Amino acid sequence: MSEASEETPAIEVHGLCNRFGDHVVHEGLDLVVPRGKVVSLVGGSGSGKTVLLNNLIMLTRPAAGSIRLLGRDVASLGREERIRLQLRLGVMFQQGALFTSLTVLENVMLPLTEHTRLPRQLREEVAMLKIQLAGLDADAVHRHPRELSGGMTKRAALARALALDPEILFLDEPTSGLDPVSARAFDRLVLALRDALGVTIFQITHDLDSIFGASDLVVFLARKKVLAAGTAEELAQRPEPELRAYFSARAGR
Amino acid sequence: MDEITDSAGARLRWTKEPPSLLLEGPWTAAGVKADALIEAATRALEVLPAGPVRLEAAPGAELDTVGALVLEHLAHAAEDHGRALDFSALPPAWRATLSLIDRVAQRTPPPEPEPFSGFAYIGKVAIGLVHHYLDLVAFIGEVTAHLLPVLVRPWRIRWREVIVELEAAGVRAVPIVALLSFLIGVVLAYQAGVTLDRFGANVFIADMIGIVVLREMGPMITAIVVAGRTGSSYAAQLGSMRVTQEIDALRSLALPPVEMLVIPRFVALAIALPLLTTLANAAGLFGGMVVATGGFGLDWTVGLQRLGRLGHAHYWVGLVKTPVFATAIALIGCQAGMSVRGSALEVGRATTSSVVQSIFWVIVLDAIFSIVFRRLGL
Ligand SMILES: Nc1ncnc2c1ncn2[C@@H]1O[C@H](COP(=O)(O)OP(=O)(O)O)[C@@H](O)[C@H]1O
Ligand SMILES: [Mg+2]
Repeated sequence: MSEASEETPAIEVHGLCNRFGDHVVHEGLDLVVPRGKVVSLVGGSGSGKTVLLNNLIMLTRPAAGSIRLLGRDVASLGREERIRLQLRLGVMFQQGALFTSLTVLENVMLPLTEHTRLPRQLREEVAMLKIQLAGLDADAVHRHPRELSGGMTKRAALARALALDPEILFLDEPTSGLDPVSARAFDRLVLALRDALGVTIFQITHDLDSIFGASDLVVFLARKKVLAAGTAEELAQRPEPELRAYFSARAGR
Repeated sequence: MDEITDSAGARLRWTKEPPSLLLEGPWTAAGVKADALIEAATRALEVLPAGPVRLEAAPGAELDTVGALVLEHLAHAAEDHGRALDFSALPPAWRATLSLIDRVAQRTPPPEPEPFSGFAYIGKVAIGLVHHYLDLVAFIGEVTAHLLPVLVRPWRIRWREVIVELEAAGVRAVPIVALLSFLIGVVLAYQAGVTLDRFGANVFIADMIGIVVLREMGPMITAIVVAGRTGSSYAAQLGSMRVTQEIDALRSLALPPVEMLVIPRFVALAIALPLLTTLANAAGLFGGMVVATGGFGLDWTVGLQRLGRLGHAHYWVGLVKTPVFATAIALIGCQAGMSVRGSALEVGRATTSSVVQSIFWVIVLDAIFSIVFRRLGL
């Protein structure tokens, strides 16, 4: 990778618009995510976080606006280039979205089998590495998704998202549904991945402990755009009523 | 300086003084050919002078976890040849990745649980079957226990749900049942006509269709269509309600799922199937008559007279079977749905198995009825 591309932001969004019928979700949304940081996307329910995430992982196209991922303009990519870019992204869906007919190991190996030409033994080794990096016990690898607890499902889903060493990792509410101990462990894991692999992490979260304790940058979505971006402490001091309401929930605890 | 280029991606060069290996290109999942690189490194080690071999990263070289794993394999291969690799000159980010893998305890997956041997497999299937039928019997018991009280007090049945299910299982099945029965009547009349025509016995085509359609074909075709349409949808509906824990939610609200979900479906099917069968009978007779009159020169009036003289018994013999078929289809479909454990995958399995089983039982029950009616001289 050349020095210049290291300097382009991981994600650059300009003038993004999304609407369903005449219901406008985003209008003129701008967002810049620097590389190698943990970025948390927050905002009230229905503020359009999932819609934005689906745009970023190229599942849906916005009505207007430009998205650059790792320096590439998403809209201008051909089929091949699009696939190559997709392989540089990892996504962990909110419910895990593990393939039910496959074991944990097979789930993590699937992207390696389909997209690399590594010999089977090395693929297994890579999968075992990612599974244990995600904090899942090696004994669980032959289990099927239905035999996993909520926390194990999240970890298995993270291992699959990490399979191809993504440069950007998208996490949809990674700590929701976890007990506080597992949730903090997950936060530490996210920070460790950032430090060890230099991954950019873009997560949707409602967990104030993750927002304050494990985020380099917090992006607040309201009024159909990014209302504010900064550290959690900065956002907590902002005068806008939406931000005050959101962060006063913490003070009230 | 010598070069080894064993893959388009990751490359290895060596220098003798000081002994070092230079890593070039993408040492990544897309770029490494592990075996070739390890072989190349082993050959390089043979010519390099004694002492630790320093690893260096060329400008622009990349490393991901796959490349790091390969580097580690390289180090092990070197150790086997009594040589040590020195990682200290690699960039800090590379060393971070390498130390990350170091922390991982278990490299190879634990052995997979033993698959069943042929003999054990047969045993497992047999035990599974026994359990399945025990579950089915228990389910029949549970349904009966809920059904008897409401049969005495029919106003306690949830008629709203019954009506909804009646529409889905009955009204919406009308076109397909009518069309299929009409076609069966057509086919039967052709087959009967070709033979009877030779004896100049065309009038008996009407008798033949009347008996076969009313006694067998009408009830059977309807039951099979309903098993495929409605039995499967019962299994899928209840199965997905189990996956989403809706059934558990009902239980926790002290609303018995059997009473809320199974009884209305059962009642609806018990009403719909005789009605659909009557419709199928009419369509089948009509189809047969169309062919008998059009293809074999039978007079409409004569044909209808022959049908009229057959007597009502055939109709009732056919119809009496339908509540039994309905019971079998509803019970098998609902039980398959309620037996779903865990994932959405199970719902598909339950649906398929409910269709296969209910068609099987419809045909078995029909055979039993034939024997019983024969004994009774009906
Ligand atoms: N496929 C869709 N069709 C219509 N409206 C949608 C669709 N997806 C999302 N929306 C609407 O867009 C808004 C934002 O949704 P979402 O991104 O899911 O919110 P959240 O921030 O809670 O994730 C909501 O008002 C939702 O109703
Ligand atoms: Mg959402």
